[in-house]
Formats: sequence, C-alpha cells, structure tokens
Amino acid sequence: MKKTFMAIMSLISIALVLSWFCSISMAQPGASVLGTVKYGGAPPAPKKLDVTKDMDVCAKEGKTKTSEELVVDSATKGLKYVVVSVTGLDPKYNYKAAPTLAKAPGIDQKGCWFHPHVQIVPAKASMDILNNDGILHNIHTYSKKNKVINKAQPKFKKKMETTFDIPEVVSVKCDVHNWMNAWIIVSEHPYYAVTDEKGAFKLDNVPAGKYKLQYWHETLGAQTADVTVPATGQVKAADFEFKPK
Amino acid sequence: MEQKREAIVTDVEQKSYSGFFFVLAGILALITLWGIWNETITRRPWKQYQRRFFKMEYEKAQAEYENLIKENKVSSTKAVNYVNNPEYRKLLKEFDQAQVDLDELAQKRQFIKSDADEAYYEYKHSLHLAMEQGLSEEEAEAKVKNKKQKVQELEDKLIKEFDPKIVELTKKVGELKKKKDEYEKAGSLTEEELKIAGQLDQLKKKMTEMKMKRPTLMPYQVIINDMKPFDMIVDRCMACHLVIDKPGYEEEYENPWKTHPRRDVLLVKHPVENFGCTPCHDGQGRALSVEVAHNPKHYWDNPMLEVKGTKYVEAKCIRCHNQTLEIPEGSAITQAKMMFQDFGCFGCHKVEGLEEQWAADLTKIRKVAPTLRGIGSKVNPDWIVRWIQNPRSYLPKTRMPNFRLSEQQAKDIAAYLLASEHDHEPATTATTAMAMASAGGSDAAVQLAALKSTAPTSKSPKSPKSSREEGEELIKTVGCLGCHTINGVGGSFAPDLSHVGSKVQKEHLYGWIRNPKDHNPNTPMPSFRFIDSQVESVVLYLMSLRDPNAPAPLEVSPVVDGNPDEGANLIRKYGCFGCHDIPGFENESRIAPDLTEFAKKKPEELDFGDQVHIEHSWKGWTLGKLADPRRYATERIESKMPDFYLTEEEAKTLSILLKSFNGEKMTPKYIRNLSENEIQVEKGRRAIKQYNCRGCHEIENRGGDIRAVVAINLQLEGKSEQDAQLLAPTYSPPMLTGEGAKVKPDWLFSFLKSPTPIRPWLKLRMPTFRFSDQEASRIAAHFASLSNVEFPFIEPYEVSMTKEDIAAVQKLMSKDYFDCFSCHQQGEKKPEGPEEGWAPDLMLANKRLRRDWLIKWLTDPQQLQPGTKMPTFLADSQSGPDDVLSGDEEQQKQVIAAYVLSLGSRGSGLESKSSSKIIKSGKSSKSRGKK
Repeated sequence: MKKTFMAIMSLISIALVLSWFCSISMAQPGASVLGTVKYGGAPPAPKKLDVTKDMDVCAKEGKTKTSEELVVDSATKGLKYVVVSVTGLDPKYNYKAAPTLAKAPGIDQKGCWFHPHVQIVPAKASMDILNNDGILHNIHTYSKKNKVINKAQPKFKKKMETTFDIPEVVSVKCDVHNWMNAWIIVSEHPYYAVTDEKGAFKLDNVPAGKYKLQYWHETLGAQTADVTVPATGQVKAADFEFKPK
Repeated sequence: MEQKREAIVTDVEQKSYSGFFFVLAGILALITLWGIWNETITRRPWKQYQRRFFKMEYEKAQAEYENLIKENKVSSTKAVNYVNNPEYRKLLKEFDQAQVDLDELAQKRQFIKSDADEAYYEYKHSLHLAMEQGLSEEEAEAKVKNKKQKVQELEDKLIKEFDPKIVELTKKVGELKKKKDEYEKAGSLTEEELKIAGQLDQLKKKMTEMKMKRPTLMPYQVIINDMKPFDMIVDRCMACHLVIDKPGYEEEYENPWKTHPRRDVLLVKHPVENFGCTPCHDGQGRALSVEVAHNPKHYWDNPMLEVKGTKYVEAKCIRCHNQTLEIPEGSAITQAKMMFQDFGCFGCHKVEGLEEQWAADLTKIRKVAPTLRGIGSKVNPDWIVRWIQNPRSYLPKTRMPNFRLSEQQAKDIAAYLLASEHDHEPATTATTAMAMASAGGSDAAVQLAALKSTAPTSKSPKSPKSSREEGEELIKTVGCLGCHTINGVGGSFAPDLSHVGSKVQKEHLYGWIRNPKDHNPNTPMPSFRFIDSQVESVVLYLMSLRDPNAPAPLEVSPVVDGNPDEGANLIRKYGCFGCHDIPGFENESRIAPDLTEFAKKKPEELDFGDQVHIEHSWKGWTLGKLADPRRYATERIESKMPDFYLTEEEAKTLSILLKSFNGEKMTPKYIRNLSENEIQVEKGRRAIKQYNCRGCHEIENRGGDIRAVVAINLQLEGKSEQDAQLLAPTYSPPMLTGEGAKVKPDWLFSFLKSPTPIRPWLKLRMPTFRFSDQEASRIAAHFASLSNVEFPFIEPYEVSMTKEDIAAVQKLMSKDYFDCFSCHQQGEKKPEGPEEGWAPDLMLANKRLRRDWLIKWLTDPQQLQPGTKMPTFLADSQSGPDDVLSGDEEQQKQVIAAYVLSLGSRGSGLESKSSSKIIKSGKSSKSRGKK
C-alpha cells in the first residue's frame, strides 16, 4: 500500500517538475514589441574622425572616417544604434548561470574600424574578436562590473574569444588607433534590440505584462517609457524621441 | 545550705540574662549567616554572570543537539538507536542462542562419533584376534556379533538423531544471521552519519560539562606591574567578560558574554594577559561589581571611556602608537590629530611631548597659515579688512577662524600689517622683489622676480595673444584642481579660487604662479613650468574670478583709517602669530593655556561661566568650548579663542584627542617603535600629506581625487558622460600603489627634483615642487620601503644577448608581430599619429624601471596599472607567436625585457657582445640618494 502511494507521489512530482521546465523552455510565444526612435532636432552633420596612423591599411577609404556616435536618417529622423530593452521583467527570464546560448556574433576589426558599432552580447556567452586588418590592434574594454580586457591582437592572431559575465554597458576602444570605438551591451535576458538606420526596432516573444522599456544611446543617455505587452500578437510602442543635447 | 548558696550567688547573677544571650546568639548567628552570604554571593557578583553564561551555553548546546537530530531525523535515530532496538536485541539473542545450541550439538555429535569409532575398532580388533586363533570368518563374525551391533547402534544414532538436528539448527542460524545482517546493514552509519554522531557526542559532552560547571571562587584577573604610570594594574574584567578574547561570540551575543570587536587585530596584537583591559578602557579594574567597575558617572576618577558615539577609547591608542601619523584601527583619533594639526592648534596651545613626536623631522611644526610679510603687495587692502573680520564671507570653508572683531579693529590690524612690511626685513629675496613691486608698482620689479625664478625659459617673451580662455583651459587641465577648487570642482587641500580675483593683486599673482617657493619657501604649492605667455593667460583668467557678493570698496584705505599701534596690540592679544609669520612678532610665546594635562581636569576645575544648561562634566565643557569658544566668557573673564566653526561632529572628534592629553609618559617597553623600514615609510607618508600627492595620485589605495575633474574635462571635450567616467582613470595621473617595485629609487629622486614628461596622452603634468634633496630622497625611500625593495641606488642593468635572441626580439617587436613602436617612442624616433596616442619612451626604461617589474608588466599591465592603455601581449602560454623562440612566452618576455633595457644603456652595443646569458646586475651602492 505504502509503496504504491510513494510511487504515485513520485510520478506526480516528476510530472510537475517536467511541466515547470516546459513552461520555461517553451516560454509562451509572447508578443512582439515594435517601435521607432527618432532624433528630435535637425540632423547634425556627421562628425569626421582623422585617420592618423597605419595609413596604408586604415586610410584605404579615405583619410577621414565618419563617426557612428550619432547616426540620424535625414528623411525620417530615425536614430540608429539605440538599444531598447525590457526592464522590470521577472528574473526567471534572465539567462541562467550557464546559458546554452548560440554563440554571439562577435566584433570585427576591419579597415581600422569596429564592426558593428553597437551590439548586444548575452551575459556569459562567448564572442569572437576578429582582426582582419593584418596589423596590430588591441581590444580595450572600459567597464565597471566586468573585468577590464586590454588584449593585444597582433597580425598573427586573427581570432580571439572572450565572455562578459555581468550585464552592463561596455565601451570598447583600440589604443593603437584612437578613433576606433564601439559599444557592447551585455544583456541579462533575451529582450534587447538595437535600432536600425530608420530608427526601428523589434523585440520578439516578450512575455505578457506591463514593463518599462529602456532606450539607451551612447551620447544621448538613457530614458524609459511604459509599455503593456499582450499575450500574443504584437504591440506598437509609442514613438520615442531623443532631444538633442 | 541556704547560706552557702547565697555566698556563691552574686548580685549580678541574680538576674537572668538568658534572653539577652539568646538575642546576642541570634544576632551572631545572623551575622555569621550574613557573613557567609556576603562572602560567597554578594561579594562575588561575577558568579551570577558565570552561572548564567554556563546556563546559556548549556541551552545553546541543547538547542543545537535537538536541531541536529531534527534535521537528520532518520540517520540520527538509526545512529543512536538501532543497537537498542528490542526487536534487534531479541534477534541477536536468538541468533546467539541458536549458535550456542548448534555448537553444543556438534560437540555432542563429535563425542558420539568418537564412541562409534572406538566401537568399530573394538569390533575389528576382536574379529582379527578370533581369526588369528584359527576361527573361520563366519565363526569369528558370529563371535563378535554383539560388538558389530554396538557400532551399528552408534552410527544409527548419529545419522538419525543428530544429523537432522544439526541441519535444522544450521539452517536456523543461517536465517537468523541473514536477518541480523539486514538489521545491521540498515542501521550502519555512512561517513556523513558518523560525523553527525560525532557532533552529537561532542554536544552531549558539552552539555554535561556545562551542567556540572560551577562559577569560579576567585575572579579571573590579569596583573601587570611594569606599565607606567600605573603602580600595578589588576584587571578582573574577565570574571564577567568570560569570552572577550575567544572567537565565536560575535554578533548575536550580548555583553558581558561577547567577543571583543575586531578581536583579530585588537586582541591578537594586544593579548589580554600582557595588556589587561583598563590601560585602554579605563574604569576600575579591581572592582567586582558592574557599577563600580564601569562607573559611568562623571564624578568618578576614571570612568570607562566611551566606545561608541564619541570614541574616547581611541585616545589611549596614541600613548603607545605615537610615532605614526595614522593609526590603522583608530580612524577617529587619526582624524582628530589631523584636525589639531590642520587648524594650527599648536600655534597657541602647548602640548608637551606631542609636538616632538608629530614633528619628527618635519622641520618643526610649521606655522599653518601663510606668511604675512609683504601682504600689502599680495592682496587688496580692502580684502584684508573683510577677511580679518569674517573669513567665511569670502571662503565658506576656510580654516581661518573668526575672532569676532569689529570693523575698526580689523582696520587697525590691517594698518599694522600694511605698515610693517616697510618697517621690517622681508624673509626672502623674492619678497624683496615683491616689496619693490608693490612700492614702485612698476613692471620692472615683476620682471626682476621673474628673473629670479627658475621657470623654464620661455619660447617667446610675452606673447600678445594671451587669452582668458587659454588660462581657463590650463587651470582646468594641467592639475591645479588636484588641490584647488573653482566653482565647486576640484580638491579641498588648497584655498578655493572661485573668487580669487577679488582677493589678490595681479602683479603678485604673476610672480607667485611662476614660482611659488620664491615667495614662500614653505609653501607646498608647486610650479607648473608655465612659459610667460601661459602665466599671463592664467593670471588673466584668475583675476576674472570675482566675488559678486563682495562688499563695496572702502572709501578710505585702512592704512589711513586704522591705528597700527592698536593693531599690534590686537595681534599680540589674539596671537595671530601662532599661525602666521608676522614681522615684529618673531619671538612671541604662545598665548593660550598649556594643554599638556588638560584631560585630567575635573569638572570643578573647569569654569562654566554663566552656562547652566551645559552638562557639568569634562565632556560637556569641552564640547561646549569647541563648538562655541566664547561661550564661557563673563563680564570678568574674557575668552580669546576664536570660532573655528566646528560642527558638533567635528567637536566630538577633536575632543577625543584632547582626552589623550594627560601628561603621562608610557613605559618605553610598551611604546610601539618603528623598524628602520617603517620609519622610512612614515617619513614619506608625512611628505606625501604635506604636498598632497594624493590630490592627483592614488597611493596605498587611497586618493587620486582628480579623476572627477578629469571626467568633467573629458565631457567638455565631447565624450558622453558614461564614456568620460569610464575613461577617467586612463587619463589621470598614474596610480602609485606599488611604485617602489616599479621604478628605481635614483630615477624617482631625480624625477621628483626635476620632472620630465613621460606620458604624452596626459594633459595633466607633474609639477615641480622644488623638493630639497632630503625631501626627494625621503619620498623615494618611502616607496622603496613600502614595496620592500632595495634602496637607494641600482646600477644600470648591463645587458648582453645572443645573436639568436636579438633576432628573435627584433622579430617580436616588428610591425608584423607586437609592433611596439607603433605607440612607444624610442628617443628621437617618434611613432606615427598625434602625440596623445604615443606611449612612454623605451629609451628611459633602463634608467627608470626595475627588471622584475618589467617582466610582470609584460604579463599583465592592467593589474599593475588599472586603466592603462598598454595591452596584454604575453598573458599566458597561448598568447605569444609560435614561430619565435619555439613559442615559449616566458623566454619571449625575457628577451623583450632585455632588449628594452638595452635601449637606454650606455653603449647599447648589443651586437658586440656574444655571451650567452643575460647578465642581471642590480647591486645597491651607498654612494647616492642619502645626501
């Protein structure tokens, strides 16, 4: 009698645990959040950066480069490279201690320029650092919570790997070529997006609920706006505008 | 009979005293009882605390025991109880019985078997005998028939009677053993369970012990008889504070059953057996009751010192720790000492013994405020009057106190100061120039001052386009804000310059900025080596910083309006010369009471004046005095002490130091003397404080405050706030924690004497402090001693490398590999790109760097200098190229270090030598550095 009871109980508990796992891994389809970010002023002339070193490699496309710190679409005033993220999520949606994440895309040093300028890298996911220039670069991160990396990447090292453990905004520089600059946003959950040339973004599969969306831009700072996400379908976040500084 | 009896009975005895005796006996009995009670209970109050402690410990052990059992329910019952389980016991008994039965039966069978064997022998023997006698076999058989029968009988008995029984019993034993084994297996202990069983055992032991334990009859006491100024210290505090020096009774316990806070430092370094309790805490060590021992009331001689709130207990630290400026575990007393020094209390008050210790080699106690010689040429006369009258109307945070003088009095003092500069010999030649400048008011005198200064030669004499903007940029970027504040940004070491234009005279500022030490040899203000045009820009900018709230200029100059003689009287009365160097007051003695034994003052020795609402205690009086120094003045008793605007908190802190002024000298045995190494470190620390090196540099993990200014500047250059914060350490002066292990002391000495730019990306520059040889070598020795490395002089490293090594290193440093010269300068060979992107000149390395550090630097630069732009090239065994020196990173580092050191060495003739080993030489010589 007792044994049967125990067996039934254990079966039930296994079923419960399994269903809990499923509820997380299958993560309800959720809804998509769409939106656009605009620059609230006359689009400024893009900043020019002088190429001063290693001209044969770095100045192939001209002796100046166009800064990507403020990229505004002249027609729509859409603001590129704004990072939009959901805040106030239940921590259960955070990446677990050892996420089985697909490898992050990585950062490429090509033509003495970081590609891409702004990207999202999940915490604890490994990412590649590539040097396609065949000259000395160094990847120097400036951060408060993550360990600072300043690694030389000479010609013979085409590829290195690194991981960031703690979610935060990391500034990336190359000390050999002082005009090079990029940003890595170490994310704590999957609901982060970067705006495109038109200032548009899309967050997929966001669980239903009321949240604050955070809009971060490297020179214009961070701001928030409310959003209510339905169980399915998609919702359009209110158009967001960054005032010029 | 009657008569005889009468003769014996006296008058006295005619009255019965039995009642009286009874009462007396009763009293005696009571007194005896009381005596016993008093002796064993009343006079041994610690017993109660000990009893409670034992009870507490018992309860704790019990709770822990029960908890352990509860948490490990199954295993613990098993662990303790399976042996006692009645079922198991019964089984065990049955098993034992069965085993015994079986053994007995087997033995019996053995006996029968022996009988059977004997019978068989008998039968065979008789048979053979009969056959020998000639009987036929049949006949013989018939003759011994009865014998054979006996054998048969016995064997039958064995088979029929014993064997089945034995089989049965064996089976039973087997079954019982199986059952028993099952029991034991189920009940046996795992390692974890064994551990718990052990813990339970120990707890049980402790419980028994605590239950049995009786309080000690004699108090635990510490006796120290060689600590002056006490005759003999007898501290019985531990009679109640049972576990004060035992770890494990920290947070959740309450006094007296609590471990001493910070025991790991405070009690480990000052064991109770050697130091007792009252030398630090005061109170009555011999006393046995709580009230008498602690005596918190102010009329006791030595009430226990406060431990929380105002930490008077720290006043005791400096009786033994009197040779260092800072006391690691005494933050309050350290702060109090700094305040006493910074506010210039020494200027008016004498404290015997203290000044000597603190001054230890620091050129006497300097006057804390600027010299007033030549003040007329330095600042505006109007400003002097305003300043004397109310310093905080100009600088809201100044340390100059308010003497509560009337405007006329201020004018009188100003009149004296302004007149005296003509009357008295100025201190230095530079001030002569100053005086001339002010007297003649001509540019010629300024030029003279400029000639005297040792500023680097200017490229163009007086550039016409000196601008305020250039001046502003210079002030904000070269490092002035490491010490000075302008509009809320910068350090607080030196005066706030936000309104300096309303204070100083332009001509003075030229000379001062060009070379401050020419004007005041004691100033910590350095020269930034500005060229003339830069000086002009800086002056232009500073003079534009005016105070919008400045009062209207005086209609009549104080020189005319004031009475210099009256001024001199006021200066003498208020002791202005205690802090300022004033002509005509060179040989005055201190005006205020000697504080050497101030802490010993009883409340009745302190005059509370008309203040009735202040607590009549030492603390009450002292805090009242510090917060409002004129508080106790009456019509008859004048107070001269000025108002330092101390907050309540500051007054409390400062009073901790005053509490230490008891005029007693500690026995030398107990004084914490410094080792040779520590003395070097301490001397350097004082110099570092004196020159505010921490305004810019992080030293011993503190300081580097200028980073906030750098972050603001980076933002002004267009960096985002976030980026500026992150980049600030990179663009700030180098961190000097571990500097001793990095640079050679002789290089540091010469760099301090005459700084040269090393880091082209820094807009901040190391200024010239015009250190004396003694000061420079003191600072160099400080860093070497802190890092425990050789001092003072390291020979230049002589480097020789094999041809293979040279080929390897040239490959390693080439463009296709580490491309070192992409950033590093090499003497005249400069890298590509703008100067901000360059890295230090590698030619400097041999003179400047230690070889061991260089290897560490090549391994992990970020660890040595957080924020550095130098990347890691050879962090681990994967980072180096595989085709150089067979991919051995350690060897790669060695050859790079050797090559870099060879760059700056005299011959630099690497190729000419062919020895196979790199020679390291680094012997110290006594010839330099300690001049």
